[in-house]
Amino acid sequence: MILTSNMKLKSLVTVTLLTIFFQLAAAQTKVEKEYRVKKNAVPENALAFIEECFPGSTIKWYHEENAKGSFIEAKTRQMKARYSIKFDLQGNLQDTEQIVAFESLPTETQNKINSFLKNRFTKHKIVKIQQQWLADKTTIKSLITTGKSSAGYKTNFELEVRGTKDKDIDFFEFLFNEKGKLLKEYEIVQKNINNLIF
Amino acid sequence: MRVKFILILVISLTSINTFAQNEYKLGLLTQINTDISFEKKWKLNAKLENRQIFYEGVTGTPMNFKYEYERSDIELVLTKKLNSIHTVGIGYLGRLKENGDVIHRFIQQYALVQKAGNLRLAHRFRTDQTFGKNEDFRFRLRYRISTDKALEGQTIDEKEFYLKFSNEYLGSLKKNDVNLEVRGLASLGYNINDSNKIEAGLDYRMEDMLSEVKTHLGWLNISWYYSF
Repeated sequence: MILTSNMKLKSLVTVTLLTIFFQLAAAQTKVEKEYRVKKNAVPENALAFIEECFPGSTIKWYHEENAKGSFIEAKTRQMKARYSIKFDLQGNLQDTEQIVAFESLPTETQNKINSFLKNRFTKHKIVKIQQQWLADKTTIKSLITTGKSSAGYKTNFELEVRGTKDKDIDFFEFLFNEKGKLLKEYEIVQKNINNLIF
Repeated sequence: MRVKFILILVISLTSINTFAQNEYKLGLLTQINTDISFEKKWKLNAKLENRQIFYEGVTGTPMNFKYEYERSDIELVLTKKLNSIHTVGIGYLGRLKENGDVIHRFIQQYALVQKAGNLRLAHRFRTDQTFGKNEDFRFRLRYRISTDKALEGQTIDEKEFYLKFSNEYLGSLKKNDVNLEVRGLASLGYNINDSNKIEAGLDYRMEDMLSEVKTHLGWLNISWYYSF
């Protein structure tokens, strides 16, 4: 009886192992990647710009690769505000993001975004909001250091939202302009959590 | 306050070791864990786990190396995704012990994932029923919380190292005996890609917490996770 049970269990082990190795060929890859880099790997103009904007602050530098290309990103905190400034590999400024509270958005923008989310989902929760500034270096520097600029600039808001509709709960990223008009959206593909559950 | 708490904890643990003759086992726990998705919402998770003991004895006595193969488990859990946060599942575990005995276990689970910024927290609630030819029926109620943290950047990307922590509480009922077990795991992981991860870490478990003689288990836990 013991021998039979053992044999059955061993057969199951063999079948499971064979299935695992047979299907290894079906492996899929993902292109998004972000990793820390040292200061000396950062283009000089990007380094100089960040040091001008955030004198004395601790800066963490990252190399980011995504579908759009490769970038260098600086992350830092100043006056409790968290900034992330993205450059291309030549050190040209791409965008500047700052984590903000929903309540800090203009009231009209808040209302439009709220109305959009209420129409879209039966229930929603804003997980994170980033304010994006799109402008040249001089304007961005003025916005970071003084909070204002006489030159023109664009502000967008990037929202990460957990939305429920028809019992489905999914995560989305929405990009709104400063008037609360939707510019872009995409569903965030959840990373594998197999190793956290089992 | 924090220092006081640590001091009390250290004294308590030292006291346990000094005054109670508890049992311990130290060894290697290896695990191959795979899952295959089908029909969008369904996943079959298959796990092969082995336990090998290198040291075993009573606390406070000299440690002697003694190799012993303890057991092998095969676990199959079928899960259904209710949405991107909640899953439910049922499963079976077959255990082959060193003496040739086979143990059976039925599993029911509910899991949810919370996301706060870049932090992921997974909660798993399980009930299981264990039985075998020479084994009394045992019912367990389990809760586990797990999280992982990227060591480079804010998210765990391809070819990056990460840390994983988990903590589990298990209540069990066997005949009329109620008992408790606590587990803690701290692992260093390497994410080959989103479907392929290797982890190695220390896994500590305290069994029979409500008994006079407790069992401390310490494992070097090596796991490989692969998703098809």
